[in-house]
Amino acid sequence: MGNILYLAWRYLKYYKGRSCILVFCLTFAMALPITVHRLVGALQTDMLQRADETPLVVGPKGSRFDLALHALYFEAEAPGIMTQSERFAIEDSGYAFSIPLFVMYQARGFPIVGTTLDYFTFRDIGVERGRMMTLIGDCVVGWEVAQRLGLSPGDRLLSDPENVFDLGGVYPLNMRVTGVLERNRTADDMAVFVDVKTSWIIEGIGHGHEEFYDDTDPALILEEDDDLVVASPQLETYTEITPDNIHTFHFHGDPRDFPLTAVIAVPEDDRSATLLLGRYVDGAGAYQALRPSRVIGELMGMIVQLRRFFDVQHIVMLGVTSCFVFLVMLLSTRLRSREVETMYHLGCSRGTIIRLLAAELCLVLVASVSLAFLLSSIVMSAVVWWVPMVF
Amino acid sequence: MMSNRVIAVLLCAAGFIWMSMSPAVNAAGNSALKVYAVNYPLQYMAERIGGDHVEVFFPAPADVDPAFWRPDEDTILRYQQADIILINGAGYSQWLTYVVLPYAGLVDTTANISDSLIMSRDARSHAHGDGPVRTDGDAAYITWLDPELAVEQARAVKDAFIMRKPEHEPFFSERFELLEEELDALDNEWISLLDSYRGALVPVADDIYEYWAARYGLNLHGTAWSPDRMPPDEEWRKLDEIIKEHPVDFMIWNSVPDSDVKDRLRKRGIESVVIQSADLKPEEGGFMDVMRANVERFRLVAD
Repeated sequence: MGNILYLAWRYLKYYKGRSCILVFCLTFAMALPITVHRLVGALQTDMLQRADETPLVVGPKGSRFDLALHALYFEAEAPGIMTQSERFAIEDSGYAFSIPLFVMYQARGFPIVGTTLDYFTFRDIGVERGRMMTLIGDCVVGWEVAQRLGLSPGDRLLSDPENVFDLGGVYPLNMRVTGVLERNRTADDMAVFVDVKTSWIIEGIGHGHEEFYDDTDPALILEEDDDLVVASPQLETYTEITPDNIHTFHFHGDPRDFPLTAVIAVPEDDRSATLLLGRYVDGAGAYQALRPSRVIGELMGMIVQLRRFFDVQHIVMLGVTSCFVFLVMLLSTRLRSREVETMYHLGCSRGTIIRLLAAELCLVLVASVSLAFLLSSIVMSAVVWWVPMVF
Repeated sequence: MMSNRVIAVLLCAAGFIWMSMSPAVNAAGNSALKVYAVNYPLQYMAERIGGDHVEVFFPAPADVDPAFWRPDEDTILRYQQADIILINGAGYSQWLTYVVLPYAGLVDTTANISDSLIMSRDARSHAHGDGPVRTDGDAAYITWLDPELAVEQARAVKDAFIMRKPEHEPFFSERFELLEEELDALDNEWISLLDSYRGALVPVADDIYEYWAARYGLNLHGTAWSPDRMPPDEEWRKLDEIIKEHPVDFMIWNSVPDSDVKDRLRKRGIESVVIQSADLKPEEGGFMDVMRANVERFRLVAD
């Protein structure tokens, strides 16, 4: 057998050009379906894993897919705005612990996720460099954000203005980067995290400004009595939180009315989860609760259908390529008829000649399959590098 | 070859390092809950109820009023590492507004008695244009001077401990009941002492007695007098006018007033009584000792 393999190898080596074309064609014919299969599989695993790790999401009524994608990946726009009172209602029900999310703004194109420190415990993410945020105005950035924006602890990051033409709109907040999160190859790598209070400051609900004293410019006071001072909206507010002005920051209105875009609910057990879902099942209120695993499962179902279509296409393509290879081998055998005849006259049996041709084909196939997997792995690595939040 | 002595020393050192890196372990071998409080009364309650099952910290310096303390960032990081953060609520510790703490470990000890909170008389609101109103100033916050409210705060501490360590429920409950009994006894003593003063006008040199006065039906008159400075004549004239209309038997101070001030008050028939709030750990004794000393000082005056 060793001799036959040696002869086959020598033959392929002698006809380098023809062998390379064969290997090239087979490699690409196999690499494409293998890569698509692996990519979709990885996407499915990743998406389902994150969804499985997120027991329940509560949010405004609207598209279930939007709400799930928003709460899990900070990608889709939330179906609406909910108030903190719903979060408090979840807490008061005793069925679940709640983690608020307020994702409305961006910093240099990356979503600013307003949440509490409990989010990091829940997702089991630590700080790789620097330290966790300690004050309002602080942020910790995802690993990929730090890489792409070249951010390190101690740097500043400005939130994107909502509308550059809206002069009366919300001012961008100059945030202090206190840390860079560990890479966890999820949407967390591509986000800027702030305390939910900081996100409300960006929203304009909280702010800091000078105290009202007797020497405050009267033009800035619209109305004043013993109980209430009404200041002009022109009163200058701070756009950067510093140790000198941090104590002047405060929030207007009832905290129960403060906005959120979603709440991750973490029930103690299945029974609590079912009871909490039951509160929303009649659809009477303004909010919905969903199990992300089911919603993402539905989405993945669609992707799986798509993958089946691709699989069929690739099977057809592989079949065509196989026919092509078979044809090449057949034609090659005819071209090599004199060579085969010579081998026969030299004393080779028909079986030996067939084994020799089969060995050549096997070597080509082994090389092609190996290269196909290698190519697929390179493509996977490249995709992981360029699209880190997916894998 | 390494001698046995060297090996023994290395093993001891490794053991020491391991012990120092491990979470605090109590006598029963369980890791203790790491509890951070925002004032001494809560620290005291946590220690009384939690015993060996908790490790309680209150990192404010001894010379700073914890209500107005501003912890540095390292201290905030230490608070973030706590299993439980006991806060007083009622607007106590303004720093909580601008620091980032985990919500999961936060226990507001007055959350269940929010209906009993008293809005500060100094409260003044502000708004920007026609935007929502913000109340500048909060509820009065020295809640624990009312023993009934202190019991409720202690109950919140106990419930938080039971939630995290349900296996020790009998231990926590038993110790809470002991503290509750002591606070009830304190409350009864105040009732017996102050019953005859119900409705009386009581000048106070500090604005920390709202809950105490509300509990025993006293009408406070704030003076903002400093215990170590003679008030100006204008203030004395105001006090004299008040005395003409309302009989005043005693004035409440947070610390011992200057002897001249005391004498001038005594000439008007007003005794000075020191009632301390125990925000900070006393040099001697504990929270209940300070509370009992308050009663005893008042008893001396009343007798």
